[in-house]
Amino acid sequence: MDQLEFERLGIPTVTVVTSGFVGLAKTVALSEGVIDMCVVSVPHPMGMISTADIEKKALDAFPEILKLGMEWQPPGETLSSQSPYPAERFQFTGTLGDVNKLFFDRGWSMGIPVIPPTSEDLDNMLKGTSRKPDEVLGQVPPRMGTLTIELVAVNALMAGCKPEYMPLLIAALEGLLAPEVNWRAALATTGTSQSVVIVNGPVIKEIDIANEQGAAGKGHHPNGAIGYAINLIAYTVGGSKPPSVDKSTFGSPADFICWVFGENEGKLPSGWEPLHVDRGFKKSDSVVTTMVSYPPVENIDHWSDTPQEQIRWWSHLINPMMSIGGPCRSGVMNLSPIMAIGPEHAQSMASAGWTKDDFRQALWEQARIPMSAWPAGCNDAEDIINHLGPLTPESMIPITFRPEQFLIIIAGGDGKQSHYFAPFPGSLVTSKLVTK
Amino acid sequence: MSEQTIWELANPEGTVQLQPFVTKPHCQTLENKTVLFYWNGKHNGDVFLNKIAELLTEKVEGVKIIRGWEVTPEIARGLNQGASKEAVSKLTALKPDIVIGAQAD
Repeated sequence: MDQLEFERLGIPTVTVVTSGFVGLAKTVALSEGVIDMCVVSVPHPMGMISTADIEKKALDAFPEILKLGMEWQPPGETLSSQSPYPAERFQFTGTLGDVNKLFFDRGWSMGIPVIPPTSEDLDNMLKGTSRKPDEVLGQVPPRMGTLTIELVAVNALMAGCKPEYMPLLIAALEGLLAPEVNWRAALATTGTSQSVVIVNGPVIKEIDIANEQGAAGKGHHPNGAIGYAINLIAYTVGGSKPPSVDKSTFGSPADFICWVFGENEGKLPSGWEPLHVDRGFKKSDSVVTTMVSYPPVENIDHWSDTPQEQIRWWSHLINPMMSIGGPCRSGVMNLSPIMAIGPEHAQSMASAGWTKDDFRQALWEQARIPMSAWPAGCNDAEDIINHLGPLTPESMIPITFRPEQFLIIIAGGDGKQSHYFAPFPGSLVTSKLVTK
Repeated sequence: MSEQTIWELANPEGTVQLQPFVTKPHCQTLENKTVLFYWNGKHNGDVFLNKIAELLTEKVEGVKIIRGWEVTPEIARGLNQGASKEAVSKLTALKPDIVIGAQAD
C-alpha cells in the first residue's frame, strides 16, 4: 500500500477502501510498523459499477474524507518488536487431536492435520540443513513475520517434511520471498493465486521429487510435504488468512498445498535444454524456479499431428486475458507464462524439427485476441502502442510483449495433456540454487 | 491416538520485526493546500477520486489538486505491486500536503 510510503516521508494520508478490505489495510499498516492509519471505508464494491453509482459513493464518503483529512490524529503509542529467535516454546497436555485443535484455534494450522512440532523432532529437522537456525530468510507477507531457519523447520515438521527436504524448501522460500515474485500481493489478492515451484537437477533424484506421471499430484511425499510447508508458512508466519487478510474471492485447494514438481528432464526432446539451463544454470546444478500464477489451463490435444496444428489448438485455448494482460494491465505483458508441455506433445513438435524458440515464436504470433475484446475503460493502450506500434480495434494483442518471455518445461508423463500457467500480475519468475 | 501426553511444542508463527513509526498529524485545514490523489489502477478508483477532487475544489478555498496517475502513469498499471521509488520521488517532489488514495476493488 503506497500510502505508507508517503507517511514514511512525513506526508499524511487518507486511504479509501471498501468495507471488506479494512482489515487487510490495517494488517498491512501494522506489518509496516504503523499502529493505526487514517482509513475511510465505503460500501463494497467500487469496481464494475456504473459511473453514477461510484460518484454517489464518492458523494456519500466526501464529508468523512474531508473531516478526517483535516482532523485525523495518529495514536500516541508505537509498536515494539520481539526477537525472532528462538521461537517461543510452551508445554501442553492433551491428545494428538487436542494439539491439532489448539493449533487450529490459535490460527497455526489451516484446518488439515499437522504433526506437533516438538523440540526433539525440531532438532532432528534442523539437521537437514547446514544453515544456522537463527538465520533470517526474510519477512513473510502480508504480516511480514520474520522467517528464521528455525521457523522453516517448525513448519516443515508440522507439514510432515523429512530433514532432507530442508535445502529444497529453503531455496523455494528464498525464491518466493524475492520481491520480484510479488508473493505479498498474491497472498492477499481477491484472485485465485497459487505458488508454483519447479525443480530441476540432481535434487530430483536425491530426495525423490516426482517429475513423471502425475508429478504435481497425489502420492508423492516430498512434493506434497514441501508444498504443504510453503503454504503453512504463508499462513502462520505470513498471516495470509481468509477472510480478512487473504481476500481470495473463491480460494482453491492449492491454498493448502502449492504446486511442487520436477521437470521431466528424461523426456526432453533431443536438443531441448531443461528450464534451469535455459535460465543460465549448469545442468548439474539443483535449482528451484518459483513464481505465482493463476490455476493452470489444461490443453487436451489428442489430434494435432503437426506443430502448426498444435499451435493453432493452443492459440484458441490461451489468451492475454487469462492473466488480465492487454490494455487493462499492460504490465502483465512483461511477465513469463509457463508452458508445461507434456512429453508427448513436446516429442511431436521436436520430431518435426521444432525447437523451443520455434514454439515460442509461433505461439506469440498466433495466441492473440483483438483489441476490441477489452472494455473501453481499460487505460493502458498507450503502453501497448509503445511496445507494439499503432493500434486499431482490430489489432491482435499477444500474451506477452516478446516471444522469448514464454518459459517452456517438460511436465508430467504419458498422455496428450499440457498445461499453461498464466502469471499473477507482478510476479516474475525467480530461480535459486539448492544448497545444503 | 487418545492418550494424554505432555507436549513440548514450538510456536510456528514467529514474530514481526518492526521499524515503528508514527504517522504525521493532519493539517487543520485544506485551504490553500496541495492534495495528491493516488489511484492504484483498480477499476473506478479514478472516477471516485475525480469526484472527490471536484467536491474539494467546490468546498475548499484555494485547494490545489494533483492526480498522481497523470504525473506517473505507471502507478496505475495495476501490477498489484508497490510504486517504484522513482515514482514516489516524482510525486513527493510536487510537495503535497496530504495524499488521498483509493485502493478500490
